[in-house]
Amino acid sequence: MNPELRRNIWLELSPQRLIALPLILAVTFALAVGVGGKLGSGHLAIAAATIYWLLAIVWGSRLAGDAVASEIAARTWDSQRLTPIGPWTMAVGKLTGSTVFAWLGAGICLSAYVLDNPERLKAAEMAKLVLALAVAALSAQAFALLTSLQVLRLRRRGGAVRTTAFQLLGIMSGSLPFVAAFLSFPAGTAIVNVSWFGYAFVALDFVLFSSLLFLGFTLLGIYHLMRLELLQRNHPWAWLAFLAVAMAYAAGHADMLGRATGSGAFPAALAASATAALLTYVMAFLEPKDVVQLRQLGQALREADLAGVLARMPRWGLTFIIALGGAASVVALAPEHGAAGTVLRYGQIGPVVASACCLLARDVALLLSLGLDSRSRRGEAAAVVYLMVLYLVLPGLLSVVGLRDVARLLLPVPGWGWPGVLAHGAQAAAALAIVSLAWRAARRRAAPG
Amino acid sequence: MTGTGSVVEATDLCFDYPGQRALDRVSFGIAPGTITALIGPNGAGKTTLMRCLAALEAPFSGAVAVAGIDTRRDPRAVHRAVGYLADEFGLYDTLTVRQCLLHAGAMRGLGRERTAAAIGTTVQRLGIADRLATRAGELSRGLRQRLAIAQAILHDPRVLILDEPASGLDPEARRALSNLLKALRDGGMTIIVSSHILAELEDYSTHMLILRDGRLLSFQPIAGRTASGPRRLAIALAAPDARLMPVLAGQSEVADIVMVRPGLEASFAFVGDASAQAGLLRALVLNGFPVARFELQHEAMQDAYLARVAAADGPSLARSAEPERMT
Repeated sequence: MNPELRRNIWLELSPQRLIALPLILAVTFALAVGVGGKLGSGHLAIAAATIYWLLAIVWGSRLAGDAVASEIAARTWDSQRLTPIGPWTMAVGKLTGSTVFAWLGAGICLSAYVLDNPERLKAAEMAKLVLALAVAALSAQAFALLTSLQVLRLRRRGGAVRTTAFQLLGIMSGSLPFVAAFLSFPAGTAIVNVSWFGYAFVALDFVLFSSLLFLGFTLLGIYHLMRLELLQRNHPWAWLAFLAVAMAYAAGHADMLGRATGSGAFPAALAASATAALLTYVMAFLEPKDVVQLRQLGQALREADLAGVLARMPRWGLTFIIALGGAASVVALAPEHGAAGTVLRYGQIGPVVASACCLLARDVALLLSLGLDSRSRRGEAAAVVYLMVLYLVLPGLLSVVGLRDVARLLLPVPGWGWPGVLAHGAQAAAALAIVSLAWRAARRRAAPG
Repeated sequence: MTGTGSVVEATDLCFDYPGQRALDRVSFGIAPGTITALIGPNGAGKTTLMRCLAALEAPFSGAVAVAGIDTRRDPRAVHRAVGYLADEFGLYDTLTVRQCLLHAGAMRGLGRERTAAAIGTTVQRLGIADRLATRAGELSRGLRQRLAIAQAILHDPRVLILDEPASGLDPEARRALSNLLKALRDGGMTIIVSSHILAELEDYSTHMLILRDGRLLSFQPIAGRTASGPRRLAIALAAPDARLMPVLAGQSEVADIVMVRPGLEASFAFVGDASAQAGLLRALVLNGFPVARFELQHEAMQDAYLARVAAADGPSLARSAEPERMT
């Protein structure tokens, strides 16, 4: 048995708990059946599904998000890292072990739901629904663990780690497929279809497929972060594969709009590049950006150590490059002219996309400059404040005092055309200059010689 | 300072924290079966060095090899060869001592039978055999320390790294720890121990590695602590004999003679092994010297430390480099 799972079984499944939880659930479900008057009335199913959500998704996310964070707080994590146990075994042990008690209750809830079966689903459909619900809960827990591991890399040398944030992210990522799974069964038949790149899928099948796909990538992410915890190197191929799938996933949904409006692949390209831009922000926030990391990358480059370069290449950098490529494809695929003969591609869309790229570069540079300042332990939080000022407070104030046109120079919106791009480009250049200054200051502080 | 026979070897080791270089071109080689005391003031880089040796941190540049394995190339293999106890360690408080050790064995991949055997040996060695059913959270500080060490040595590592292991222990527990470390060393284990308290290292260390400001100030054997290499012997006669100095000076293994009381008491460096030492004593007795005392003279850690620091800095700076809680 996985040693981490066994340790958690020792800790979590005490005889008292093994008696108390089933007893409490049995009483609750008996009350629900009593209120409905009979099995199959739906009351038991509602109670079971609600408690399942609470146990497996809300509480399970908490437990999984806390799995490694609590070990670090209790100073037991280093002794685990020192064992020769593999990253996959460790990842599985942490994920299943930390949530083992929640799964005990969740299993009872799923059984109660199947027993009630208010939609009179056939066995195959019920099996799919149960699988979708299990995958939703596993996704919630895995995402909470993934984000906790990523944030712990940032916070290891300072700053508090709040498990609640990981839990909330887990709840969000698990609740979506949870709700979608139930919504896929109106009137007991899986009739709602989803269009993806023009192909029609049964809604539940698509929910199940999507959940499994992203759960797979989440588990891969946990495995990779666990490798880093165990001092092993990662190459960027898994991240690039995830990026490609995420972009294709978004593009597949947007493609329907292109077909409906006759705008071809433009909406799909826009969705794909927006996904890349969003993931650039995500990784720029979540990856360590200190001077040591960047100097190690520089050293690997100087030594022409390809494996070292690939391992140390920041994922936000790779994603930014792909987002820029996506932006170029958006302009290339944009309609040349609008309905009223307006010049769309190079007159309106081109400048907006170019401005968006400049502002993305500015924001990443801002995050990088804050990350390079070793005296700042909350660079990411400060970046959130700066970005809110740049995107909300300043434009709002300028608009209030009647300078709406000037406010547009802070946002990637139509209005100024190519002269506006120059203003956005100047902001990006200024941010890069700040990065250069921060880099020099960090080098001076960092090391002799 | 490095050697091919080393079980732990650091070569130009540099480690950076953002904004600070913690280790700066540190190089040394530690021979098997020795106990190295890692000494230096707060912030000298002791804990960082230990974490690099245990492959818990990757160096910025340079290399660390443990049992011939590069910590950057194969950290997991290094983890198999190392036992490590951090300064502020944690235990699974709600597990019993037996469960803690079973878990440690399983995590080390020992297998059921090997784990059971290792637990039997280790709890006897650590004196916690009667506590197997006790929860870790209910143990005293000293017993928690013993359990933590038991977890660290359960897989019989070649190298044991202990960061401030005696911190918070009472004198009896310190004595037990000292005996344990000596027994482990005699069993062939190589041990690296850090402490602010030189008195506690005094008892068992064979080598002293001094760090200051992330740099290696000195790494040398402590006189009288190693089986080979120069040791210092002391001799005292029951009655004065003027021949003492010339006879000692005539021995090939003897050097650096200091006459404490002329003709009566002396100390000297001796490069021979134990049988050569016995040979010298026999020769002195056969020559009619009334030998009342003939023994290995241990170099006091404190004196050795200050001497090394003074040699590096000049005497005026030596005091400022003393570990803060040195006793």
